[in-house]
Order: sequence, then C-alpha cells, then structure tokens
Amino acid sequence: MKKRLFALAMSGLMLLSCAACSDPAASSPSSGGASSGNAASSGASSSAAAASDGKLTPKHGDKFQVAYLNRRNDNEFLVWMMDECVQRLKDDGRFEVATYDGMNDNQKQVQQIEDCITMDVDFVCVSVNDGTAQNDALQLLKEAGIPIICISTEPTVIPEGGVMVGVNNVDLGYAEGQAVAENMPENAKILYMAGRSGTTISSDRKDGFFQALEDSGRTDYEILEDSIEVDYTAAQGMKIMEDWIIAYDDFDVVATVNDQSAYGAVQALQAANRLDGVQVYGIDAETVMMECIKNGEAVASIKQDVPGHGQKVYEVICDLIDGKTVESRYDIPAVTVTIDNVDQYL
Amino acid sequence: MSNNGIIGNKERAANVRTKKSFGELYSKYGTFVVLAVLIIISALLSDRFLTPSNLINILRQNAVIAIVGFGSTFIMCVGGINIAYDKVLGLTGCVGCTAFVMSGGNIVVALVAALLCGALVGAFYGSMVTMFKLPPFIVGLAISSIAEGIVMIYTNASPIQGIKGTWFSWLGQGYIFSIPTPIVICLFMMALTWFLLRKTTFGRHCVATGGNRAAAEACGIRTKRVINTVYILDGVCCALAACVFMGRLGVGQPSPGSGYGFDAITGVVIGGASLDGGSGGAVGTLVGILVVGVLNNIMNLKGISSYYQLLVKGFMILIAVIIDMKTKESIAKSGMKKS
Repeated sequence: MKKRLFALAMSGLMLLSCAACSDPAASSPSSGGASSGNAASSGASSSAAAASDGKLTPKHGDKFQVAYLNRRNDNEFLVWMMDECVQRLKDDGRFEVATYDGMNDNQKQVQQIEDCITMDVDFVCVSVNDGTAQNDALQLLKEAGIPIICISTEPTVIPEGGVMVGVNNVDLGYAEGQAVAENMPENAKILYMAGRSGTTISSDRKDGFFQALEDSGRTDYEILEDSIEVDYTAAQGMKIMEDWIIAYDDFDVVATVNDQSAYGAVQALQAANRLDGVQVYGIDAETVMMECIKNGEAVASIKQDVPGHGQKVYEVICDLIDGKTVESRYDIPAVTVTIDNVDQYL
Repeated sequence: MSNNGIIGNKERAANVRTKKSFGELYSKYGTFVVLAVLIIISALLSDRFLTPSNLINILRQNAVIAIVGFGSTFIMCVGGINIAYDKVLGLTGCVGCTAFVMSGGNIVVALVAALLCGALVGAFYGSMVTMFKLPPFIVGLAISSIAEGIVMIYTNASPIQGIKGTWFSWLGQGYIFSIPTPIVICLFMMALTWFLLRKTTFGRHCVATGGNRAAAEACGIRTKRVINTVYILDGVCCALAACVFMGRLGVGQPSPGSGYGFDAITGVVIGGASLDGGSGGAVGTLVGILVVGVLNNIMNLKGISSYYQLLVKGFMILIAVIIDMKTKESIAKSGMKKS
C-alpha cells in the first residue's frame, strides 16, 4: 500500500514537473519557429520574437538567451575560442549565455542541440564536433527558427540562413603544408602524424596539407609515414614520436594534425637528442607550441585568430538582432606563426 | 598384488601432486610465454626491435601505465574495478604541478599534494563502494565526471607551465644511474606491490576478500576496511603515475587523453588477474602491460595503420578474457578431480 501511495505521489510530481518545464512561450505564436521578420539577405533564420521593423526581441524575459555548444571543454584552444565569444556577449549586457561541453561526442552534441530547441533559446553558437554528424540536428534548429552561428569547425551542410564564422580545416592544413614546402630542406623526409580518423577535421587538415605540398611544385620529398593517428593529445604524440625515432634513422620534418601532438613530438625528440635538424609543425598555435617556436624547437604553427572569431560572432548576433543583413560565411584568416612573428601572439 | 595396489595409489597420489592442468600452468607461466613469443616475432619483423634504445623506450613508455596497473591489481584482487583512471590522472597530476609551481619548485610538496589528492579520490571511491554498496563501475563513471569537472574548473583547460627542466620533469625525463627515472619508479612500485600482496597479511586479506567475500568475513577479515584501503592505494598509485606522466610531458595537462586506464586494466587481465577477484600479481601485471606495449611498439615500428592497431588490440582483449575464463574452468575441473 505504501509503495502504491509512493508511486502515485511520484507520478503526480512528475506530471507537475512536466507541466512546470513546458514553456508557455513555446506554445505561443511568438515562438512558433516562423522565420519571418529577419532582414538577412542570406535568409538567416530568425527567432520568432521579431518586431515589425525586423529587429529581434528576447523570447523569454528581458535578455537574449544564447547557447554556446563547444566541441570539447578539455581543449585549451576551443575553450579560449568559447571564452572570447562568451565574454563579448556578457560585456554587452543584453545576453544570458549558457555553455555546453560536447565532450568530443557526436551524440552528446546532438542531444544538446535538441535541448536548445526545447529551451527555445534565441541563438545557438556551435563549434561542431564533426563536419557531418550534426547536420540533421542543425536542420532541426533551423526549422525551430533558432539562428545558428557555426564557429571554427565547418559542418558540411549549414542549414539555409545559418552563418559560418571561421576557417576551413582544409585551409588550415593547406597553410601548414605551405609552411613545410617553404622551409623543408632538399630531399626532405616527412613524417605526418594524422588525427583520429572518422572526423572531418582530421581528414580535411590532412587533405589540405598534402594538397599544399603538391601545389608547391616541389617533388624532392618523401613521405615516410602518414597513416599513424593520434588522439590530439601531447601524450599520444610523444609516444608515437618515440617509436618513430627508433623506426627511422633519418627524417627532416614532423608535421602534425594539431599543436598538442606537435608538442609531444618535440618532447620526444628532445629527450632522444634528435631535435637538432628536425622541423616540427603544428596547427592551432597553442601557448605551449608557441613557446617551442620561440625557443627554436618548432618551426611553425597555424593560428586561427581566436579573438577575431569572438568579435565576429558577437557582431553577427548584434546584426541579426538589429535586423541587418548578414553573410552566410565570414572567413577569419589564419596566420602562420613562426619565429618572426611569434612574439605578437604570445 | 597388494603391493602393486599400494604402489599404484602412491603413483596416483604423486601424479595428483605434480600433474598440473593447463589452466594452472597458464595462470603461472602463460603471460610470460606470450610475451616471449611476441618478442621473438617482433625481433624477426624488425631489426630495430631488440636494440637497447627501443627496449628502454618500451619500458619507459609503459611505466606510467604499469604504475596505474599496480593499483589496479589490488583493486582486481578484491573483485573491484576502477574505470576513472584517465580523469584522475589529469586531476592528481595537475594538483601536483600546481603545488610544485606555487611552492616555488618544491618537489616534496608537489608529490605530497598529488599523492594526498589521489588518496582522497581513492577513499571517496572506496567509501561509495562499501558504504552505499554502489557498483564500482557506476562510481567510476561518476568520479570520472567529477575529477574532470574539478580539473577543468581550476585550470580552465589550460596547461600548467613551469615544470620543464625542474625536479618535476626529472620524474618523467631524468635518469638514476643511467636508467630512466620512470622505469626505476615503476620497478620500485612493482616490488612494493609484490611485497604487499605476497608477503603481508593485508595482501592475503585482499585475495581472500576477492576470492570469497562471505567466507573472508566469516574468518574475521574486515572486508570493508580492506576494500577501502585498496582503493586508497589505487588512488596513490594513480597520482604517482600522474606525476611521472606530467614530468614526461614537461607540462601539467588537464586532459592527458584517454586509454591509460583501458591499457592498464587490459594489461592486468592479460597478466593473470581475474575480473571476478581473488587473483592477481605485480609481476604478472607488468608482463601483461608489456605484452600490450610490445604489440603497440612493433606496430608503430612497422608503420601499421592505426585502423589495424585498433583491430588487433580489440581481439587481444577478447582472447585474454576468453583465456581467463577457460583457465578458471580448467582449474575448477582439475580441483574437482583432485578432490
């Protein structure tokens, strides 16, 4: 009997909580997901809380709710990118920003996107886990009338009206390849440390890298290795480099998918007294790698302009609120950081 | 006739004493044989495999995993499991690095802080398992999340710098009489684990608790205390491994990556520890971890694609678990025959 009463009470509580969670605004016409009211020439989907002059007003309360969906919060670079965006929005005073950690898990990020639809937020900024895995979920966001701003990692399909702020991973890999082609010695032997397969970030950077080598016109190089993958961590980069040091007597260039792997490679080469005469390259221009460049331990890293990303995301959101025209894509140029300009970024 | 009968009985008795089942033989020597075969095959595949620099490389690379594995050996002995190693490595290592930097480069303070943090995490893990009777697997999931949350909050995912070229990095990169420090620490921990498990009452209590908890309790063993102590020891091992790991990298990494716990548990199982508890040993753990390490090494030396590496590793774990089960069955059968 007690159990039944308890079950009854719990059921009542669940029903109450469901009722409390259901947002009255969600069923109101003002948040029904209509994409009218935004003057974006790109057709950016707008929140439904649009005034007749095309300007947007917060759907709930007096502040715009922005959800920032980060690919993974255990990565210095991605957290930096998130902080740059969030800080600008918070400084403005008109926004409430909630951040979410995708934990490098496609399924988790899809769930977070679905949660954003349930919460009916005003804007979603997303650094997608993968170029393809979130496409359907992004389409659902679009259908819910929530403006999407993709940052840094580009989905293969951005729903109509979505905005991309960032740099293409193929371009990042290409810039790395260009740096290698410019600096590598004659008849260079190259080791390429690839990222985890199954993600477009890895394959795009790799494709860009080898395309740049091909386009450089140089043919006097030999790829010793390009099929060994790292999980983007320094530890893994170090371990693989230690094995390569044993496996190859002679190599000139170590190019990696990201800076953490490159940093690990530098540590392994240093420990084995093999760094002399070996050029190390990375992508992301993380602090540890820039220190290596400054100390002459690495040659170059490709830097995405992180504050530039944050500023552009903020501007896009402000433009959408003001009913101004926004482009579907804003390229933030990547910078090749070398010993010549590293002090500017450290 | 009667004489013959007496002799026959004696022979049978002698046979029972000396003839060991495959399971018993494998549980004692199987992992060593597997490692030896793997080394021979690797040496045939690559002329660089048996070079001193590569052998040291393998030991150094696997020292961190082995130190984690020794902690895991205790846990497996009592029939538990810890799946939070990767995140706890990040937390305890960063605590050590932070303490080192904040204390102006005092390695003792750093080690005490890290080991204390590891012990606290272990105590928390153990108390959840014993007090609330939660499954260790679930507790591990929760602690992974908690540890990652704490380390990300206080580091903001940024690496902790200031340990390169110091005593802290010596833990991972230095040498003691020409032997890399990680290898020395690993061997010391192996000796300590062996001593605790084989030569102390505590070790016997661990095995008894894992083998049959109810029987152990009936014999007066305070199994809850044993389990709690084991998780604290495991946390300390993990923290020490974290310090060596961060020292190797020369930077405090909040997110050291995944796979260390997985490799450690794989090695411990291959090394002869039973997933059901009641068995496990320090030497077997090191050998089991080296089996995985040698396999990784030779595949990298031969430039085998990571796709195939994943495949091989997966099958190896399956084979190890199947052998574990078959070994137990074989031992049980031979035990029944003898009785």
